[in-house]
Amino acid sequence: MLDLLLKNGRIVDGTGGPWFHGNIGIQEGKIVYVGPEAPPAHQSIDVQEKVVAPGFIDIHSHSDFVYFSDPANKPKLLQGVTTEVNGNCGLSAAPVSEKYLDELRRYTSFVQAGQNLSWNWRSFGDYLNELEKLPLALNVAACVGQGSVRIAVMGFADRTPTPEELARMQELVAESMDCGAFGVSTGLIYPPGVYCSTEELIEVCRPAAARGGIYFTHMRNESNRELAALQEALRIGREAGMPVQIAHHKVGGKPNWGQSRETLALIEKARAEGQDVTLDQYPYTAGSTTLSAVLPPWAQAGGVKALLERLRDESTRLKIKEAIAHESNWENLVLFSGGWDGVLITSAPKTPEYEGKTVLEAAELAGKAPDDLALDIVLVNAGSAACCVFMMHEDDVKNIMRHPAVMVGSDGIPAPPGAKAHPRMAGTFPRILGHYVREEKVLTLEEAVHKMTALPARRLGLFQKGLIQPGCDADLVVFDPETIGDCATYQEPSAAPTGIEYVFVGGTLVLDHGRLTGAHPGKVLRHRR
Amino acid sequence: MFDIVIRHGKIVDGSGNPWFYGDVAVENGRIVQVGRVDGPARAVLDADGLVVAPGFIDSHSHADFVCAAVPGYAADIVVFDPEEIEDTASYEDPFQYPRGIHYLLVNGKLSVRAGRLQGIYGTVLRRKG
Repeated sequence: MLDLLLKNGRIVDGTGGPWFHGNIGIQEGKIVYVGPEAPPAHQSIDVQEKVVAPGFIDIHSHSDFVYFSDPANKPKLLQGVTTEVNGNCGLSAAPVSEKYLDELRRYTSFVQAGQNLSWNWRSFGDYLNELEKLPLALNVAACVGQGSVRIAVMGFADRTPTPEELARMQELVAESMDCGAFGVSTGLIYPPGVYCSTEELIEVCRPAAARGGIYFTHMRNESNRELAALQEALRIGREAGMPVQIAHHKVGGKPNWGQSRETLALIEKARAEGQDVTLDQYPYTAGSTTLSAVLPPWAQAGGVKALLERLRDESTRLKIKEAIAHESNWENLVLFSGGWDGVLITSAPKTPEYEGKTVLEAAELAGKAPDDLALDIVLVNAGSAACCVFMMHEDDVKNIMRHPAVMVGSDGIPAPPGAKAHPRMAGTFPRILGHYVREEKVLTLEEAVHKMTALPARRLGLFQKGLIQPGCDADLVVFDPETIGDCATYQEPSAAPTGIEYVFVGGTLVLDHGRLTGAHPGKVLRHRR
Repeated sequence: MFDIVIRHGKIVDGSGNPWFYGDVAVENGRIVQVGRVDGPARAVLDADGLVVAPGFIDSHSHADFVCAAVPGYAADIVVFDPEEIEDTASYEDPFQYPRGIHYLLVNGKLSVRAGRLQGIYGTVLRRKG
């Protein structure tokens, strides 16, 4: 006797193959039957020709701390996400060292969603154990952030590690992998990642490579030096000996628009030469990051404390403003967004009056010059302010989306309650299925589902997920292909999507027409276990 | 102890994904592990530079179903060289065997090695009632 039978589905099974009519039988959290029959079941749901797909896997999340205040992670669940991967862009919640806890706290502040955290974990394993105590609704995986590892050993020091420091970082990576990390992530536009040589990164990644881990990277540059940055990422993968996942692939900066042809050609060349490299992407033309990232790298050196001191010093402040106004030899987000009206303040807890406004609009309101105001916002919010930067072209977004090695990843940054954020946190998956499948026809429904399911599942080695076939985990989403869509905008970033009827995690109903059922079948997933 | 481990192939697992490097372990006719496989095996097949894929299903001869190289699934596996694979059958000589297929496992048993038949392990499939 089955626990549950989903009847009359239009099954989009995750392989990318055409949908087919059928019923899905679930028992003990697994899919045990797919086909035309209706085996007896304790419960059955007639899904009335709606699409049944594997639950979506968000391979690029920043929900590391979200579960402590919202264990269900509602914005993701509402989109049909049943598994997410955290610890991206170099930022993970662990490992933690007593000595540099304050530094880690500041480093990860823009993904903390304004919470007061207990920080009652130290190792990566401790952190996963803490998550395991929570009533999780969806499955959670994590990689270990190279930035967090480096901070645990050497704080925000802007120098080459000593052999002892390097060995300690390798130990922490090895320990994290042994506790279940899926790989190592880097964020090479943020300190301390920005200080690291390619050689250091290769060495730090080696213990992860030896354990079958993946190199997840927010590359050193996604604009005018993107090809060199991509070459670096590929070199790290080759020399450390591990697959590479290029995070939130994009082309930033008007002078670089169209460059996705070259980046994707480089990916194809690497694959043809036998290197396993894949990518993810969020479906928007704006990026989102900490507002501090608009500063030149030298101004961010030494961590947040040093940065804030520089902003207080008039002559240094002047140099920073000069650099932002004119320099393009670093990733100048303001210049690449066409000026301050391309920078939208999303979260600034200490200056909420500017949230949802561009820096230009906020400057008019404040009666200050835009650059001065932006620096003030960084200062007053002690580095925790976040922004959106409108620096991509739609053609690159679509070109990247179509590539068969590209999967969907939200890069969603959780916002403090009431604050603005990038809508990708609440809209990514339904936006692909509504806007880019139904309206723009950039992808077929089956291709899009594949990019959200089997493609990331295989990348992660989660062979029991991402497909609708007997033996796989019953993580499923039921949606109406005619009405599915994102409602989250830059002004209303947490608006819930439409068209998602049911979400199941491990065979348990967690979302029923927009309502959380309160069930918490989510698991902490550990690599290769 | 695994019956067969196929080492370091480019796995094209039938789920529509780009290839990825990995090993495939086979025991009692089934795929039991995909990814990195540690542990002893009675036979090791080196698939360096070769593609490891689910055995092809000729859907014109029986029903379609999803078949991926996934743990728990019947170990019907083909290992071929993507540079070399080619049909040689022609209108004049329609029964010539193809080139480039290094190994074929049917129900976990080595059925073809280097183009030569090793044994016949097929079974009759019946639709589940």
